[in-house]
Amino acid sequence: MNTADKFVIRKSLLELTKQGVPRSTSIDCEIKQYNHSSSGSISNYGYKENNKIVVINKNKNNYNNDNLWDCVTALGAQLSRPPYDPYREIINLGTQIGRRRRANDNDGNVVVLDIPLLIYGHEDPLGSSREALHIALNRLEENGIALGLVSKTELAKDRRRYSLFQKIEGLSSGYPLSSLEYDSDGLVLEYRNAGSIEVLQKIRDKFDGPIIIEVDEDFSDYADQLLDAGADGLLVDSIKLTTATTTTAKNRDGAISRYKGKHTMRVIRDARASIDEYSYKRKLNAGACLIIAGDINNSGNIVKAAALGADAIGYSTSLLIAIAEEIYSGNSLSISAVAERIYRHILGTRGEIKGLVGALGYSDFHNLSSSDLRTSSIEASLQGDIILEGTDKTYKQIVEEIFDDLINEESIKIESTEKQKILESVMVDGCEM
Amino acid sequence: MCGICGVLCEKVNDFPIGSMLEKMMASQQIRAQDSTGVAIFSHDIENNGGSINDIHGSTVRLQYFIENQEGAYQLCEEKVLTTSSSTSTDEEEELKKLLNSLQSNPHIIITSLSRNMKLVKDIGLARDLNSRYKIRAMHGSHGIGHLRIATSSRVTPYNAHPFSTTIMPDIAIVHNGEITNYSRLRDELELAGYPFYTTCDSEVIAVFIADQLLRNGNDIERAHCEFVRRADGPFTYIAATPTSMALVRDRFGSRKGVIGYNPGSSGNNNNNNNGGGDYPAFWAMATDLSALDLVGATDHIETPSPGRPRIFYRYDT
Repeated sequence: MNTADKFVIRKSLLELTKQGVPRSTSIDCEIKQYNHSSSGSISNYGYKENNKIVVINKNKNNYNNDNLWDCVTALGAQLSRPPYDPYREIINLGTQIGRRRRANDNDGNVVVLDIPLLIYGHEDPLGSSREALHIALNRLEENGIALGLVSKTELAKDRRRYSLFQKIEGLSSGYPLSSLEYDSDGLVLEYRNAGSIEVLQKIRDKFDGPIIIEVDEDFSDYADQLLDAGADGLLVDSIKLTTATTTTAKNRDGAISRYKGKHTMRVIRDARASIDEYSYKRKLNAGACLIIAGDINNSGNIVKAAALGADAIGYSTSLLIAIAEEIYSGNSLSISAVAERIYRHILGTRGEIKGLVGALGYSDFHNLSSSDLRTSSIEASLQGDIILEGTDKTYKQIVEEIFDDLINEESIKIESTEKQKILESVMVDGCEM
Repeated sequence: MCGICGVLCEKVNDFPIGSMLEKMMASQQIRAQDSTGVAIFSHDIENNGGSINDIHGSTVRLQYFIENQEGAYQLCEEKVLTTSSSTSTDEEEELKKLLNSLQSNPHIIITSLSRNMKLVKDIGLARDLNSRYKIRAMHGSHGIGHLRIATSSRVTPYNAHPFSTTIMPDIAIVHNGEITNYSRLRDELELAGYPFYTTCDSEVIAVFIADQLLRNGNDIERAHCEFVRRADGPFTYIAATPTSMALVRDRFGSRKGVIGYNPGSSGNNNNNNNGGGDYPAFWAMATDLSALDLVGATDHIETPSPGRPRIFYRYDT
């Protein structure tokens, strides 16, 4: 954080503590304005005119999250922490979905994946796309690479070798449970309302495999109840939450999703916090997993998402390959050729993830943590609680320190609750230009 | 690049451990020069019931560094329990109060809780440590030593090794390498309510081992195995409790560690451990072979298999 950054933060804080005027622009934006205006040049975000800063009002939905993943880097291995070579040392990517509820239960009710990926999309692929995906996943399984597929349609166990998670939408109290066949390895149930918890308990009584709940933006309010009712983890579709176009996001009190305009890293951070809080309270029943879907489409982002707290990723790229081939190739490619592409894509992705994890000095994918990440963006620091580059603190920690210095220097008397409110308003984590 | 060493005499409680550790540290000094430290155990197991997590009925000392106005740190010690009661919870309450009051002082960094252990550490070389704390004169049954080159946290006396914990008395570890998933392990342990006093990754080993001992009835082998299973990164550490000492290497054996045996004066004609005379058999462990050579622990030389804790117990026959 340079002098200009500090200046802007201190200026904002002074304004707030003296006048109580809340911020309405993102800190990133204001710092960029300051830097550009002080050098007299026109920036993408504003320019200086007659000693006044004129802000260019960019599209507020897109401004914040432009390439925010790219502003996050991971600390590579170094002298005291040498990299692992995935060709020599074993890099573990194994991921367990499900919680063992009985002491003598070895693996009866868990699914173990060799890559922390579940093939997941908003819509199931149809026809030849589905067949190609099916062939690719079976072939991967034959070669010792177990993946999972989330699908609305059931596929008999004798036709597949991979793990299938059947997705059930609209889970509410009137759901026709008698129609469920429980032939899949796991279930992904879509949370609809409080009645979903009651239905979940009934399903839990009949189904012993892992049950994952796809949650809406209010997950922090009811995550405990879901996990207590027998859910094995949460699946959060960040695209749905951050764009707030889904019915689940709009139906609840008609309010806009609290994650609208936010970045996936904010969603991961909050969902992880919910699960950790639950694990802390129920020490004996821990092990719930977090699956993040949406906005994660390459190995680098998979590793960053894992560092922020995701246990597995709902990955749609393979699905897109399959569908895109059908749409754009004019069916010129055979099913087996598409399957081959998916197969190679997953193999490549696995190699990349192993290489990245090893390059960071880890031998286990699940050992990554947010302390391995650094960011050049205040917005990313705020949304993902990531340490700013060149410092050992997050933006929030820096602001708190400056705030404390400030109220001491200026001898401002302030209540702790008021201080918290001011800090929250200063740290606008979504651009409201 | 840190250097670690340890000496364990199986049957004798008055062995010149400090002197031997100083020699072993000096022989490895080329590895690291930032800070040094030793933890020496003088244990009479019969008088203390043998349970390392029981603080009742004995004198327990709390050690901490206090920062003065010039920014220098001084090692202090406070006796907290001297009762003979075997069940009183008042002692635990007293200890908690003391820990809380010390922790709330920003100029105090707690280092250890000890009953049969003397832990000293400071910035400087092995000879500097001796001149300040007279480690050469320290006797006991076993002990561990460390030479630090700082990689992940500041060069301060409190970041020097050995590391201990206040969860239970008499646990000390010295560590060479890095625990790369330190943050994740520390978060888990902090969630469980265990205090951390520094930002050094090595501290997590002591807290983790203590937690495992509390969970699994003082099963030290299981504690080390569990740590190897959970910890990531290149490391070798030596951990000492009043009844055991172990050298543990990571699963890939990325860091060195050697063990040797000196059969004592009765079985050895090469009296180079302690200036001659009668002396008992002992095990020694270190990063470099030269340290073992210096104390004559050149029998049964072995490099423990990666991921398999090599544990030695006191009073073994």
